[in-house]
Amino acid sequence: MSRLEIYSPEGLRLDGRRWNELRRFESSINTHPHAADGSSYMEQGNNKIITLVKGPKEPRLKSQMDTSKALLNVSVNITKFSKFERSKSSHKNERRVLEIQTSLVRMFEKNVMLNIYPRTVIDIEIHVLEQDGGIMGSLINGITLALIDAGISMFDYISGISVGLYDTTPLLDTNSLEENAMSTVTLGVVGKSEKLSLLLVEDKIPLDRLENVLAIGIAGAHRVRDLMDEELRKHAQKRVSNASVR
Amino acid sequence: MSLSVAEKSYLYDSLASTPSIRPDGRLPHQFRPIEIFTDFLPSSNGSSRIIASDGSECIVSIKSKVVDHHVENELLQVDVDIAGQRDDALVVETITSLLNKVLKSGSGVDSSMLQLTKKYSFKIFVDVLVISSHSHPVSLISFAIYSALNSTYLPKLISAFDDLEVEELPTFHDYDMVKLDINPPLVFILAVVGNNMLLDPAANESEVANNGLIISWSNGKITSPIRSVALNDSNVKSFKPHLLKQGLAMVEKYAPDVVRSLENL
Repeated sequence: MSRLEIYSPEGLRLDGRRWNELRRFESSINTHPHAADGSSYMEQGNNKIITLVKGPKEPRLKSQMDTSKALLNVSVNITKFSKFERSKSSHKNERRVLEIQTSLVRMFEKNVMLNIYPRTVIDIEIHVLEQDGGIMGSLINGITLALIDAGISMFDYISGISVGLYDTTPLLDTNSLEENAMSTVTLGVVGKSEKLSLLLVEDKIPLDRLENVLAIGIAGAHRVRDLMDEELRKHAQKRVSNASVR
Repeated sequence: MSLSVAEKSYLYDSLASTPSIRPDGRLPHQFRPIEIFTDFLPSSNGSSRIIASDGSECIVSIKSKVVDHHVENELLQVDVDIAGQRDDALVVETITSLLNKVLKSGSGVDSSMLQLTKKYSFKIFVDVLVISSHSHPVSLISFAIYSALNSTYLPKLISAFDDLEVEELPTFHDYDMVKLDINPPLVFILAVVGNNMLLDPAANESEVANNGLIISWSNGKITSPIRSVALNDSNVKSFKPHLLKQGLAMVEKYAPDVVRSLENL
């Protein structure tokens, strides 16, 4: 058991947040206009993630082509230096990373209108420069922003968030210290609805507490959606004003 | 980048003419503008991000570890990851081995600067991530490594230097850091087009280049490795030895300016 006081009797967490507070959330889109069709950079706490969307483009191999819809590929590159302690192996082809990739593909296949881009592929490339817990949620947010930047049609935003359960208290947006000390759940929430496109539970969690956890998770995800929306609108406004000056 | 036959021949002729005319109007020794950011990864000892004007981008992280230098004699290790390339791809492996050779302790970097005590030293891990590159990335990578190493701070030793007699592990100050003081080498890339040498070839220039030269620069002089490199796979030809001399002279003349501008970051 860790000796750290994860949640103090006064209701403060290790980094000074309350149970229902998010970490610092900063995002920007169109960060790599030359390298990709859509890109985003986001920082959620100490998570730093670059997402590049390349496509819709012609597939390199004819065999990869689907005549009825676009093919979605996600590759997650967790860098060796992303954690505090440098890892010896590159995380490519690691089981955990492959699982993350598959679940991201399955999530976004349902949210992106792939049927309007037949015979194409959409490659999503993610670089995790630094990770500090709740990585899956940040990946989801990064992809959503990058897809929007690429102008790919989607039904709605998907915002990701992780929630931990400390004894009976749900803790929103867990960092790595909290993540190591308790069970966490990662949610992918569709827009402002209460629909989940992802529910990732990697540890044991009592079923009768799940409702509380989901409730705060959905509220947090809605807040994340608003923050992303704000950033997108700000970015769009800047682009429009730049365009009208010319 | 793919150019048509006509475009290639036009570009080649203008680059090979005297004086050479580069498509972006640069002089033969002129670099494209670059942007460098340092110290943005709090979990690394040093970091840098370099962006070239064509959108090529490279991120370097410096991490350190205390090792027994009697067991591990290589105190600098470079790892290169190029997006979209496998770890065992030819480009990745050649660039990794080149950079490891360039930064090899002794010739490139003074490893005594990394020594902590009589037994222990810092081992520096240089992790390179190339997010996108349009021309040969080795020069960009070396600039990024240079600025990352120059912004590296390592924990300050507070225990005794002589630890051979007393069995004691090095202990560090809680928050004081010491700036890493090594003089990292740089790598320059030149394109050979006809009888002209061009520094920092762009993607379209690389496409028509007859050959490429990789020249390393360390502590104010040219050092090994010096290599030729094929910048494309359609136009490569041999080049006359006097061009090598001309290339070396060019690097000798302009490298100090590059070092100065990187230093002033």
